[in-house]
Amino acid sequence: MVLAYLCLALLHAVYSLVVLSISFFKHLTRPNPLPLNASRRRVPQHLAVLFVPETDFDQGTNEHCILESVQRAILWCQQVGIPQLSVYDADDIILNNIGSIERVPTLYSSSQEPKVDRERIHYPPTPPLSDYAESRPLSPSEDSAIGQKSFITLAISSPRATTRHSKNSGSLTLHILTREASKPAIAAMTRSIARAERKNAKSQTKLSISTLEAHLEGKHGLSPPNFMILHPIHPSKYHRSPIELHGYPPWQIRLTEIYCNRFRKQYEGRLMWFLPSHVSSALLSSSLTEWEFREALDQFAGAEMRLGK
Amino acid sequence: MATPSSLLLFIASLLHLLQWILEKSQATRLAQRLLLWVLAAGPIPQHVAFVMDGNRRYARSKGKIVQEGHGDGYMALRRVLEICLRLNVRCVSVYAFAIDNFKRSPDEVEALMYLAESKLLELCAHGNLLQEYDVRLNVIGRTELFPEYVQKAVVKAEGMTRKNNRSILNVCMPYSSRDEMTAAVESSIREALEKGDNDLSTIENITEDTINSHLMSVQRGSPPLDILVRTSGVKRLSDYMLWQASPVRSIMNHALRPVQCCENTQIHFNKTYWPDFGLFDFVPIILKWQRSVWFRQYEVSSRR
Repeated sequence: MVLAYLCLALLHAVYSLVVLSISFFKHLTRPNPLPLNASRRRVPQHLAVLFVPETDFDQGTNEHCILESVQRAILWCQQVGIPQLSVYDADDIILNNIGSIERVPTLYSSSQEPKVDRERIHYPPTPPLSDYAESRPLSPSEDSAIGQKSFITLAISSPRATTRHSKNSGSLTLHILTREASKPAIAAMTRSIARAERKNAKSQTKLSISTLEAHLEGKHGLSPPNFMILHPIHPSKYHRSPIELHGYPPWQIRLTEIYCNRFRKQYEGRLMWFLPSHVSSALLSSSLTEWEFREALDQFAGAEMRLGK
Repeated sequence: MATPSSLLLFIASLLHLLQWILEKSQATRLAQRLLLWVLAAGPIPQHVAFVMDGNRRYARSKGKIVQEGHGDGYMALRRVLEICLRLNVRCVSVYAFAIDNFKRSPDEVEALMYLAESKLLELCAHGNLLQEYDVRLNVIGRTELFPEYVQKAVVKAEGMTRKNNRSILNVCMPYSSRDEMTAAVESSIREALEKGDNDLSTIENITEDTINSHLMSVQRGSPPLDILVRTSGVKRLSDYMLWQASPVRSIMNHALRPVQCCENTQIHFNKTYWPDFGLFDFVPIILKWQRSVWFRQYEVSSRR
């Protein structure tokens, strides 16, 4: 047993060397992505960005990186012409700092200020189904009675300068997803269907995928993203472990293409492991970069969708 | 620029040579077992799932017909399954046939049905892999969509391995995750309505855990999903185990909670076509798993 353990340690050491050399090689040879405004074969119609905060970093660093990334993503989506953007983190950091996202104009010169038009708050479908089916936006005062918000939608109008591509280019719908938009939303839907079923007790409950789809993705639901960028705040640490989905709403990711950049700041991370965390967090944390965003768009443009055929 | 690339080529060719020697010599099996024995000294995932993708592209690249590609895919399944069982993985799930796959050409669907029928019975037969390693077979999905002879084979194969309980093999066909979730929601509602006649509390007590426990794979005894592997370079889940692959572990609060190791699902997108998938593709996945387990244990202990 001890022998096996020693061999395993050796195996891990050899593997580390192999991974290190391969990633070094890839680092040298990776191609430069196309520029942001290049015309690509396909552009996602709904982009999701999943942020992975880092436990070792203090809250301020995590918040700063995530919010900066969100602001950048909004800007790039408008430039590329992506009409829908969902942002998610498992700790509701974005939701708790929603005020700073509404101050997006700092990114623009004053003449082209985008405006956050209106705000829609989506609650899990807790009232009975019949009520839910009507378009009845709930007022925030009911918040405490109902529980947590599921997700928030902001409409961001376009800055004038970027409207040259197409007529809807530039205006953006931003969804800020919370943990409640994930499996709890499916549970809430289940409860509301159950309540409705209880009233017409005779019938045997029969559900189809399209019924659930109408609930979860319909008018008050969350539409599925066709592309997802996974953005860990501490890339070099995350690099060591494979991709995880951190509770992103499962129903919606059926056909979502997933992108994660595994090579950011990898060497810095390896070289600075001895630094105290408050120093390294300042050096290693990273927001979404344009390079990453362009590379992600390239991956999406190259993906082949067969839909089961 | 030239030095690292030539060095890498050198290392790669050395590895290939090593692989070739191992393949040719009688020592292969022995060496594999040794490697697996070494690997099994570390932490091992409980539940590994595979999206067996790339059979047709593999066949095309080798100039074979599509059916041969699927046949080789089955051989890869046997190979990978044996590796997992030697490592003491408790549960292996494979995506064998999607509900959407019925959209393929009738010829291919028919060939797949025959393959499914014959290979299910072969796997479960006396003295074969599943009996040797004491594995119970579950077919997860809407089997009623299959032609009758396949349905009979499913019932028979499951019956042959019913008493085995060391490990579980979930063959998902015809499966889609949304279908599994829909069925789980439906049966959660039914259960709540049956239990509490006029009582709202049973309905109000439906949580994500309730739905989770009604998933077909969970009801058949599958532990939480630890690793999901998708082959052939496609970076999507394509309606496979969506619910299972997206568990929540709050990072900020986890110092406050009793931390269970590894409740996240690691997702691997592997470039290899499924029929080519083997030990050398799987070992790095296990090594990464072991690292993350150790890393998390270290994090937890350093926080205390």
